Amino acid sequence: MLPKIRKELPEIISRQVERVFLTMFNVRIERADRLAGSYNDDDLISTVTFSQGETKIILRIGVPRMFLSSLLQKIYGPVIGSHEMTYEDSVCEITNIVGNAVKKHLNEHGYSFVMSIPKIDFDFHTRYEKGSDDHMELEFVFNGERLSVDMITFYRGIFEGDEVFI
Amino acid sequence: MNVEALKVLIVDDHMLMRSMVENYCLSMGFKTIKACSGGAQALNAMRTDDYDLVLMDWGMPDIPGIEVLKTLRADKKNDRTAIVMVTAESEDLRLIEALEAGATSYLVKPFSQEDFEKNVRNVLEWLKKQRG
Repeated sequence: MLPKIRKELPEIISRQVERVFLTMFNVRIERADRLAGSYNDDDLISTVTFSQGETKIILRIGVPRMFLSSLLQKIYGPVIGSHEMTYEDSVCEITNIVGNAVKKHLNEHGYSFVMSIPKIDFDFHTRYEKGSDDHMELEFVFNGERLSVDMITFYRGIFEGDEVFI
Repeated sequence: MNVEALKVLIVDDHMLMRSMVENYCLSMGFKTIKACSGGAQALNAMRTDDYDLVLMDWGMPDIPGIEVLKTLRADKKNDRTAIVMVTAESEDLRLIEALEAGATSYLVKPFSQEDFEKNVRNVLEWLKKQRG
């Protein structure tokens, strides 16, 4: 990825994550100064993949279930708002919106990435992926809850765990 | 325009967005609202009933919203139906593609209730002109 785009992406992602939570849930989350460096056990993680030729970029967003519950109960009430399927649906939609902002930014710089439909990532709770060419991590905080975003780039396809990601 | 008399179809594969859009529609005074979770369901709903306003997502696993839009616009029966693409697709090319395919308007996610209402009010003006 071009160094300029690589440098701009954290800001693009941060702005969009903050905007999603503010406009959709009326919650002002902030970028964390320091990284915890891992997902929480309570995190629900959603993934989208951007593909262009052999280059694959994976964007993952992890949101704690406790945090989701507090947001979604306001929309759906206590029963549906605390259901696992409701959490999964919401994290995927958040990832979809953030992912589209990333795709727009990449494609405005001459790329033609195609984005997959978001899905829940049940298997990977570690940030660093072996064999990746680039890795970016961001974290956000709200009332002691920590949200995670990470982006992994493979310039020549995904050599390990191929069947999991695509 | 009397919104109470208008029928709304919401099409989105995510329950979160269907619920939010439905709540916004209810607060604007719409009374008859149906929600579909995919493109095939939406096409079926449009075949069996008439809707005045369709609020449609783009990225859906079964049939993408843009294909549903093209199918609907190919049928003259839907000429006076307002179809708004409600999507996270924010690239200019996508916007142009949707408008060329016959979208009445385009609303990019995430949006506030205020953004939504402003967009739908403009669409209602269009609908009013279409129907004389």
